[in-house]
Amino acid sequence: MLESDTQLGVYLAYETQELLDIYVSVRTATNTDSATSAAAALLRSLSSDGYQIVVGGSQSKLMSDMSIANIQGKLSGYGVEEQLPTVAVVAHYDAFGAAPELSWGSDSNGSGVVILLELARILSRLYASPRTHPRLNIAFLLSGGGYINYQGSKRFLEDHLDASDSPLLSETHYTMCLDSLGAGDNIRMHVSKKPKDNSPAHIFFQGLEEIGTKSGIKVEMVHRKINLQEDTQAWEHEKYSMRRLPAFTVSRLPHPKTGERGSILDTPDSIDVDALTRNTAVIATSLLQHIYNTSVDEIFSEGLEVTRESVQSWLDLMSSQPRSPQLLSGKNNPLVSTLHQVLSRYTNEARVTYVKADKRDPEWAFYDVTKTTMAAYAVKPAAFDFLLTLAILSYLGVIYVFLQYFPKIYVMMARITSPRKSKIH
Amino acid sequence: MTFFHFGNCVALAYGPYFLTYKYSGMPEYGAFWKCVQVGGMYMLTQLCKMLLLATFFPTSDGPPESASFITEVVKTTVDFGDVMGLSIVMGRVVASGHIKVLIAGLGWAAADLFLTRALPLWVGARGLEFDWKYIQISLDANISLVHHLNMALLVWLWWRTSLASALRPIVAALIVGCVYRPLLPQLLTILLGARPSGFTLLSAFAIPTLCTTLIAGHIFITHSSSIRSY
Repeated sequence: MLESDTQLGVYLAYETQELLDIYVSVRTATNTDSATSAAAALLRSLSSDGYQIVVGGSQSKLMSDMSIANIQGKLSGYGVEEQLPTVAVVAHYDAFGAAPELSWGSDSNGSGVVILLELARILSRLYASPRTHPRLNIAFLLSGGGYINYQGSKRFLEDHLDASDSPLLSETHYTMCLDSLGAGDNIRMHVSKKPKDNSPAHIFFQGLEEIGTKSGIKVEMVHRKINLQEDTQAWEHEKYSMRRLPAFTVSRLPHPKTGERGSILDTPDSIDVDALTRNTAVIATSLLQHIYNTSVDEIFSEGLEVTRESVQSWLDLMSSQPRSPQLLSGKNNPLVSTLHQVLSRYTNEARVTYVKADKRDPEWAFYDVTKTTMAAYAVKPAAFDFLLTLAILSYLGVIYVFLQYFPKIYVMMARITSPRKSKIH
Repeated sequence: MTFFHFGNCVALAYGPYFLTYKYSGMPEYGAFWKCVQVGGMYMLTQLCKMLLLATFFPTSDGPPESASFITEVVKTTVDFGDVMGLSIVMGRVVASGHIKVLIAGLGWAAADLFLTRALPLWVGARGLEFDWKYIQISLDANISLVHHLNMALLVWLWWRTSLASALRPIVAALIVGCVYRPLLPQLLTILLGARPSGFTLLSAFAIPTLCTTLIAGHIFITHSSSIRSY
């Protein structure tokens, strides 16, 4: 549906009983072939309702000043911050679908955001305590524009790699992108280049495999070369890999173009919260195992566990509104500011940066009017009105005749009553 | 179709009023201004009724279904104000016999039509949406014309001193019946278990109205012929 080109506007609505009634009525009205004669067909068209559909609201036009927000935060490791390696956790928080208002995107990429927030919650506790303060920086990025060629990540990379004064990404172990992890028994680690043995990404993968197998999850690595001929990147990590940063995407999907990402069918109902909780726990455990380079079974206590309740609450937050990029635009978007607040609670230096399309050569364009009210009016054909006029005229004619003859009727009635009266007297 | 449909509804609602005025011999008496005066009296009466209702029956905030039948009966009792208003009109209008009844009834009904039905028609029937409701409103206007003429006739009969004493209770009963006419749907709801709507409701109003009119007309004819015979 996204790829086909239509001349007419296509509107989506939830199926209700009223809509079904209208549909049935229209279908029987247009199905005149079964009528036995022309008169029967005419009669049927007179008795049935036609529907005139009117769409309210203004013409949709280009959103000229659309901005995409990136929300970032970081946890600084123990020691001199500039000399410590960094692990970046990235999840794009926008959604996409054929209809912006129906783009709930709970799995892609609500689930990734849920895991990121949960990781931030757990790690903030560990970083706060001097005993468990690791020698590693963690950067969190909730990137915007994930479905428009990862504009948020692109901007993030430009800010932190090209600007020399920002050492955040200069010494990264790896960048972990989280995408679509809300169901299923598979976790796949997508890479563009196979990590070398004993590289941090490889160690992480080994840990993920080990812990995943323990929880009954199949973990595998999927290798896919970046096609430099293509304009768009399939996975978010490819943006990072293109800048020669070690990066991978963790997802349950075997392939970026399965059709499950960026669909209006990706609703909150399609999320398996238990599976999401388990996936979150697996990813969190393997990340911690990598950070501390030891088994971390005893660390999950005192509220550091991944709980179903907290996963559910993050999921509720992400399901509070459809997250198509044009709905998240603007400086004071409630969802963006909520996410910002959450990250500022758990991390340091949380901030929101805005990306705008280039004025002359925009890389993306969005149109407003995402939601409108459509009214279907039951209407009768013009022939019906003429018939009605004839009926009313004849009715008025009857009244006219009645009034014209009223004196005669009066006399008649008086004559009928008078004999009886004379009997009474 | 829209404006055309509005025209249809207006023709259906106002046509009988016009025809009644035109062909019942009223223009010969220069009755138009008297009708307008009656209409003014109607407005005054409605105002008094509204004041009474607002004073003694504060609107409950609950849904309208919760109002019990008894309160409805008590509320409708205020409609006896209509009878009083009509009586005053009868006293004021200088005309003879049936013309007086016609002026009072027609003026009253026309004012009622203008004040209660013109606006819904203007707002609703011009819209894109087709609904039988507006045709029903127009037909209801015709029924209420008969109803108001009937009321005027009954009130006129009531104030005749020459009315035979045997007929007096019948007239009184008919007046009471006419006043409590708005309760008909509720009564039917209780009796049938389901609230009638649309054309059923319309005929439920039309049939009693026509019956009372026939009876009232019969009494009127008897009465006037008895006067003539004296």
